[in-house]
Amino acid sequence: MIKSFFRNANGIAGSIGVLLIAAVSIFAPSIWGKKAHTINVVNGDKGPSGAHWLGTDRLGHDIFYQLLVSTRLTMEMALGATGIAILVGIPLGAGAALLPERVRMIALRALDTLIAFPGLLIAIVFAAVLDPGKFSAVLGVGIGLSFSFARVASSLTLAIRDREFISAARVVGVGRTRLMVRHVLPNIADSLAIATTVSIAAAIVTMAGLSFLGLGVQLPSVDWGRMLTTGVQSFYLTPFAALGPGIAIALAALVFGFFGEGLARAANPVLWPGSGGDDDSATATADGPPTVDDPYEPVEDGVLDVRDLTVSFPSGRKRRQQVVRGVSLDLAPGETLGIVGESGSGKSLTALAIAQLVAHPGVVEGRITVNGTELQRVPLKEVDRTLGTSLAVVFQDPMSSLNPAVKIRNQLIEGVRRHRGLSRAEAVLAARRRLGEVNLPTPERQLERYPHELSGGQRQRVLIAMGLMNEPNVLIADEPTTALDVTVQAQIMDLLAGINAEHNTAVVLISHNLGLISQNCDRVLVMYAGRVVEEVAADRLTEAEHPYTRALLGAVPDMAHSREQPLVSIPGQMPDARSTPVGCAYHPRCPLAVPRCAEQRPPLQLNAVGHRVACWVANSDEAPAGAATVGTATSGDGA
Amino acid sequence: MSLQLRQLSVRYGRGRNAITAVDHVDIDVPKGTTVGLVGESGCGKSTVARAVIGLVPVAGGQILLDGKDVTSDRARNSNVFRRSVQMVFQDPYSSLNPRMSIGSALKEALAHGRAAEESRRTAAEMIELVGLPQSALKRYPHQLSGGQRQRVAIARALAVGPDVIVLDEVTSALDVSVQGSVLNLLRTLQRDLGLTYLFISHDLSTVRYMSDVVAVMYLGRIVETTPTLELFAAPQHPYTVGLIESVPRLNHPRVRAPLVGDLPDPRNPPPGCRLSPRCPVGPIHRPDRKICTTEDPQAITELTVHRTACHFAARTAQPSVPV
Repeated sequence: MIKSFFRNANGIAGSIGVLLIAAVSIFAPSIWGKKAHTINVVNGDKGPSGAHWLGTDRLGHDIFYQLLVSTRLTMEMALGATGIAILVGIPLGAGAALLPERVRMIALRALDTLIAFPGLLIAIVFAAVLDPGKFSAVLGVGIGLSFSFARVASSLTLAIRDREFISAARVVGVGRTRLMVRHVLPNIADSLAIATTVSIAAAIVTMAGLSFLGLGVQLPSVDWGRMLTTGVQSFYLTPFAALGPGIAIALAALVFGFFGEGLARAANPVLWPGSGGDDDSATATADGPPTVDDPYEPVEDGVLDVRDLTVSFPSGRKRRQQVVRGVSLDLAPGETLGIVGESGSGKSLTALAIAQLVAHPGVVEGRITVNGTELQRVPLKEVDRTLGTSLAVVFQDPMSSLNPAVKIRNQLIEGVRRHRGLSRAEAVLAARRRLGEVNLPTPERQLERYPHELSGGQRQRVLIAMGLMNEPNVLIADEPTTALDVTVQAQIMDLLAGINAEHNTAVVLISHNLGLISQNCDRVLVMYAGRVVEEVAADRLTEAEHPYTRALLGAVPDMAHSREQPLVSIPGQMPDARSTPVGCAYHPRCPLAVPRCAEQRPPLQLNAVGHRVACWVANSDEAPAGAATVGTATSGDGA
Repeated sequence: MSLQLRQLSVRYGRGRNAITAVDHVDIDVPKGTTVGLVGESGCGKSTVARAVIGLVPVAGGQILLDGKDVTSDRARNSNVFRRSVQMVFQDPYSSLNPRMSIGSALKEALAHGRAAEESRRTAAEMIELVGLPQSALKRYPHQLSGGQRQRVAIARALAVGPDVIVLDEVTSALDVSVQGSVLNLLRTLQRDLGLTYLFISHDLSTVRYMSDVVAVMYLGRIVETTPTLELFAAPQHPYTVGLIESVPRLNHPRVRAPLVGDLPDPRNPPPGCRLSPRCPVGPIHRPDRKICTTEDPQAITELTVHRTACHFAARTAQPSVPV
């Protein structure tokens, strides 16, 4: 933790600054105290010179030395006020947020009311009631700042009080105090650290305001605020008398800001150096240019043809990491192609890349041909038109794919009006027809509704209807039912099958669910670590030969799995794009791996049984029986 | 220890917006067995878990632990109860404190007043029990994979030394390839430690694999409770039949969606049988079956091994899945 603090630039800059301020506060009064307090009226109100770097004030005090010497008092007061604010504010705010619901509402409203009083006003009240001076200023400013602290602490606490780890801690019997100290505070500490440093700066400024009103530090004591106030009075004569303390205040605020950022980073283990995820088995690679796997013949009159698709993202200086690494696929009219993979396999990015939806800084390379138009070779406007009229994408989460503030009707007609130039009335008519086609009851009424008024299944139907508006011949459905319940999933799959049969729309169905894919597709691509590792007819998925596909089939119970047999445990986890192993990406997890697997990447080869497999073992002649024995349980999912 | 829920009800909200999320639910979990609670989102299955563990107050009915009434909030928040009943949450990404090392999280779960050396040793034992290396103790949650995190969450629950564990969707946030190993681990632990599980999931195949008895929940109610083999061989309730048929299966042609429509608004459940607006054997297809919209079939449920809340249950029975 401490290491982390000193390894980030903010922490270093902040701590150097804080050390400097501390040194000046401690030593300046004894070294330069005399110089600072020397009065020389004859030499008053002078500009900067060799003897007086920032000039002098009306009484002839050297402003530079006075600034250094008054650092101690300024800091004492600012830190004192902030200390009071923290001690009062954090327990007040965090405590209020942890109260039972009804009491909590009252407490939070009370806090809101208190925060409406400016801190300065409260400080003035304190100064008026007590004697004006250091003590009342510190107390007043501290109390004033504590309410905003309390508000920050309470909203931070509210944000995490319902997080599951709080419930989990309660369930194992953690008491209230410990819950606050060990679970709540560490998780809001980084924001509080920043709030603290901001508050130090605010305290300095508020003190200055108090001094201006004659309620703060009383002469002959001087702090930066007092100096600023005095300086401003002769601003046109000697601007440095005001600028000096002004710059000092700004610099101090900056230093504490950096320091706070550094503390915030140090409080967060996620940001500690060398604390990335487990890179156990992985060996780093810089993957060369994608090699063409046995180039398969493009389907005549295919609606979609993708060659050597790669998607890469920048990683560090001048380096890019490939997340999709040379995927080729084609799609015949009316065909349903399944893409199976776990999260991180690159299956969704493949879909996004085809639809030209990969956002900056991602870079898509390779050839994508939609309906005979090669997207890289035509002007952007035509890409837009080709995609708009022949390809539609349906995403996993229907709520986030719809604009919550726009009526269903307007979301549906936007695309057709743009791409096909229909009039508004014609477009609304088309929209009504499409909603009927996706089996939404009373389409007229649905058109007038907002997304939040629909159920999850209804929203997914609306999205599909939106995709159908331009009568595309390719529909890419990326996990279209993962957010839905199984009975509704079955309805959506009925709908997709109906569209496919009725309009001959080709469908790319992306899912992690092998059962869903096998029941609804003609052909299946299995993806692992950004590549296609197997291509197999959907009805022969259970005869898959790649060890990864076979392990996947056994890792999840299905309705036919024997209840006596253990499931397949695949050790380790899918490598991330930064550390994809050399050779076959699956070899560190593969029970059948031979030395060659760690050296050379197996190409996707047409195999004797008539499907394509990227595996040295499955494709070697002597190991046809091997594939069947994959799936013996290995314990642990990695260490 | 055995866990019994007797006519358990849980309500959220007040007045017109009140929702009875759990409505007179009966579940028996005998010692050393697994009872699966399956249902779709919003049916109230997670609320059952949270009620059992004391995170939400109970509105009616009883929770019995080895026959002893522990329904009061106080009883379920007592140390004795905590040491007997534990829970593993759905999402290990959010159920572990990101600012706390795995070792501290485990030690915290151990009973208070233990010597530092003893709790260190116990934490080490727990981490070994769930198949993780000792080095994991020094790590923070973000340094572990999803499967490893869920193992830590299981270890934390075990550290308390419970007899009963409520498992709420423990694999649904995990990647496909690690689900198998987590389920294997849970079965091994049950066998070795004699644990009693209430296994909650929306995934029928997983529930089938894990449970001895399955309770099917719909809109706050249990519609069918049956030993697992019997449930999948001959489901009685039309909802169970629909649920089973909706599961996509390898080597099995797709069937048309058996249930129409969505889950009704739980604030305003349909009269009579709650499935009636969606039911394939109910009044939408058989107008003569008016009883479905007038009489609540819950009343006819008997406390037998195979319980079904349906007026026409026997007539819907059909063998569906080879077991």
